[in-house]
Amino acid sequence: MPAVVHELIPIDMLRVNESARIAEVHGPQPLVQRLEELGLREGTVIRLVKTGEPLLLAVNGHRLSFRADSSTMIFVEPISVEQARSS
Amino acid sequence: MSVTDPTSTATRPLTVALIGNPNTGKSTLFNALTGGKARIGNFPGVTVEKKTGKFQHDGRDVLLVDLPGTYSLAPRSADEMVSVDVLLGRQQEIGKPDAVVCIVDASNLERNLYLFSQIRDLRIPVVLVLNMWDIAQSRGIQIDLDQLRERTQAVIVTTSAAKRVGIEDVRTAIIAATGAEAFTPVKLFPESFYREADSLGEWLTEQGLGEVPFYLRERMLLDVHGETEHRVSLKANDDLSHYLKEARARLASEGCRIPLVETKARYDWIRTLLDGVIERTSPEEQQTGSDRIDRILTHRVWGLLFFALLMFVVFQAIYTWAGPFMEMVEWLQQLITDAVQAVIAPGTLRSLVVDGIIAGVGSVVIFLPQIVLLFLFIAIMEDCGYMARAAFLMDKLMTRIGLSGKSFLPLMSSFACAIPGVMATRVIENRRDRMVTMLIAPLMSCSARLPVYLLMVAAFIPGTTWLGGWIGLQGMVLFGMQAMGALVAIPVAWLLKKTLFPGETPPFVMELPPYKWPSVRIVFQRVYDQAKAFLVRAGTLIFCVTVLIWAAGYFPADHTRLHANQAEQEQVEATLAEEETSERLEELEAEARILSANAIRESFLGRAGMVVEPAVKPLGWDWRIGVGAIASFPAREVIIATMGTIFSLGGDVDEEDASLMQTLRTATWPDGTPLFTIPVALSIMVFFALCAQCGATLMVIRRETNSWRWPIFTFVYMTLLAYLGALVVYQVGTRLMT
Ligand SMILES: Nc1nc2c(ncn2[C@@H]2O[C@H](COP(=O)(O)OP(=O)(O)OP(=O)(O)O)[C@@H](O)[C@H]2O)c(=O)[nH]1
Repeated sequence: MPAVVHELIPIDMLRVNESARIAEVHGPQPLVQRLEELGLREGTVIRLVKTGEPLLLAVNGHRLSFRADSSTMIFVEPISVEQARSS
Repeated sequence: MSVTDPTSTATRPLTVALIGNPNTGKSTLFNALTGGKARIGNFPGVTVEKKTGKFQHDGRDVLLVDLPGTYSLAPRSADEMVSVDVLLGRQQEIGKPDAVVCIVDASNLERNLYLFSQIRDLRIPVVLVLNMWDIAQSRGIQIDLDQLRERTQAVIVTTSAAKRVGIEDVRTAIIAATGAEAFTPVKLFPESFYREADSLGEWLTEQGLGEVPFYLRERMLLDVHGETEHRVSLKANDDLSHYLKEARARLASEGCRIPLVETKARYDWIRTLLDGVIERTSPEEQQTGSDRIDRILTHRVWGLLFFALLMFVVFQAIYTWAGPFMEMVEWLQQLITDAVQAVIAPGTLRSLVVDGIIAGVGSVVIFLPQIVLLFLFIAIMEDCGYMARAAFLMDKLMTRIGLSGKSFLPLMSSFACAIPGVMATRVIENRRDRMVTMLIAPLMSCSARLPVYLLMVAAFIPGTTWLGGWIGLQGMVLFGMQAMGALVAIPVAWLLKKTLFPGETPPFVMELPPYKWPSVRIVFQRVYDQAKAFLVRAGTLIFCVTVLIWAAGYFPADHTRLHANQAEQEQVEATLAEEETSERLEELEAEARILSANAIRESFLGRAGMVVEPAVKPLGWDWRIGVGAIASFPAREVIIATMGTIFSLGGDVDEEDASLMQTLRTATWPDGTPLFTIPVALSIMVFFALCAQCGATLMVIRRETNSWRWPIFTFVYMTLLAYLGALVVYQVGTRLMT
């Protein structure tokens, strides 16, 4: 079997209660900056609280609502439950 | 296009590739299909295991090739390139597959379909196997298979491979698919991308690099430093890299950004594909206290219902709770009037104090209780964390008119006052959005409109109640008036977004603070600040306008006879015992009414009123209301004061009850018919709901936009709307009433 391939998905493809690590944040510079200020930056572990538009995320114990537009996208790498527990 | 030649298929074994995301049960399905007998080898030159197996179905031999589990067909290495080569028939040892089986985890369709979407672009017949069907079912995930089949145009089977359920269906589907037409892939990317892929093909042929299949050309463009690019570059030189770099730059300039465009286009396709196809009945959740509250308060149905109900209760409460406080203010006002009348003899000074200052300023101050209540509710909602939830909920609705939830807070604070509302639009990063929000903020029903509604509602709307007094018609009309500005703002915002500020709906990020009990100190501070600002305005601006209006309504008419009349009235009254009346007194009162009506008609105000009357007559207004409305353009709450002054000067005051409400009820046209009817009251309210009668707001808009253009625009559009709205309400209302 091939080495572990990391699955990168848009943030809104997460399921409720699933945790993921943010891998890439694409978008216009000012917005990316604003997202980073609010904690949505590469490496942050987030959990999806509620799906839909906008979605609800748990980020470092805070709740953020987020809706992307066509120029903005956040890619995340889902963390399996075991990994999330050990980290 | 037919993939296989019908004459030869009877004898030739079919080649079928099996592909899927890791952990979808691919090995399990492979074993189930082939009976566990696999030949294991290696693909030449790479470390990838080559696993093939055979089975027979319907008299056909099938060679099944297992491909490595992968999330995507975007080869980044030679190992990953193997799957693409096999699927495109470029793997000599295997030959072109007649069909491909794409296995996905049915309980995780959204993500697994990404690979399926890439396989579609290969133009090979596909069997889509929804494995883990048992798990999907036990989790309450319902998938509308017929709908999915229709939308994907693919052969779809469901299996529970571990339980050997549905395996035979897969075999049948494979045979069926190999004979079927391969579907033409839908074009997911922008047209410019396909043009670029075509020119790349021409360029490659020119360079003598031969025909490169369409899918590989797509991959060259999409995968920066990907394996496809790498492999062709080996044969050519750096030219290809340069060419691709330029091609990607061209695409980016047309808004097609690589590599973002692929993921976005494919997931967008999946989203539309699955919209209404999947239903999850029992999402597993484990949540904190705030989350539990949020589950209801941010629910798209319950949350909105709660919000609407809350607003309704707030406005009902403002109406009912403020009553006793208002009576207190009224009583105080009467007390002062009596005191002044006892001290000052009838004359110009008394008129200034009683008709001008007390009637004017007093009629505004009386609404302090309501305004305090409104600010109290807003402060509590903000401090306990609910306001952010409301913005979250509203985002869904706001996106329909091209705005985001970001606009909600400025608009909600505009319900108290548009000035902080306009300033609060600074939090909106997107300029177009900010402009639209700023231009509709003055439409929100600010607290200065409240007095107008309250007065009109109390005086002219019947006090019918239902449900044991919990719901009243007056409260409902009040709620309706409060909601009207917001409702009218919807089409206005939509139009502005379509015409003057076109652009996409901006993204939305906002923190939802945890719920907490509102802090008494913070809430008190905010209410106190706002109440103080209201009283200061009443004491300064409104006071000045009131005095001006009084002067304009008092001069230049001759008041000597009127003052003599008033003095005599008081003398007669003094000689009479309580409850007693005399003919002389009644005569005097009648004369006074005529005298004061004449006096105000001759005044500057009266003359100006005659000029305005034709314009306001279609709204059901007489010149007094017209003058009042015009005088209140600097600040709308002035209307109460000016009406108080005008009607008081005009002698329409009832001696027993000096309140403006009573005065208005008895006001008549010159021919004696009542001036105010329900349509007139409604027309006044609608006018005030929509009109830009606030100099301060317009000044703030000018400061925030740094241009006169926008305040002027706001003033013009709102005033036009107000006039038309009032016209329609009065005209339609009168027709309905008769
Ligand atoms: N409940 C259930 N479990 C299944 C089903 N199919 C496979 N599994 C289980 O899922 C796990 C993964 O199955 P595999 O066949 O190894 O999956 P794979 O896709 O080959 O995974 P990789 O080897 O990582 O590519 C195994 O424990 C299977 O028993 C199914 O239809 N239902």
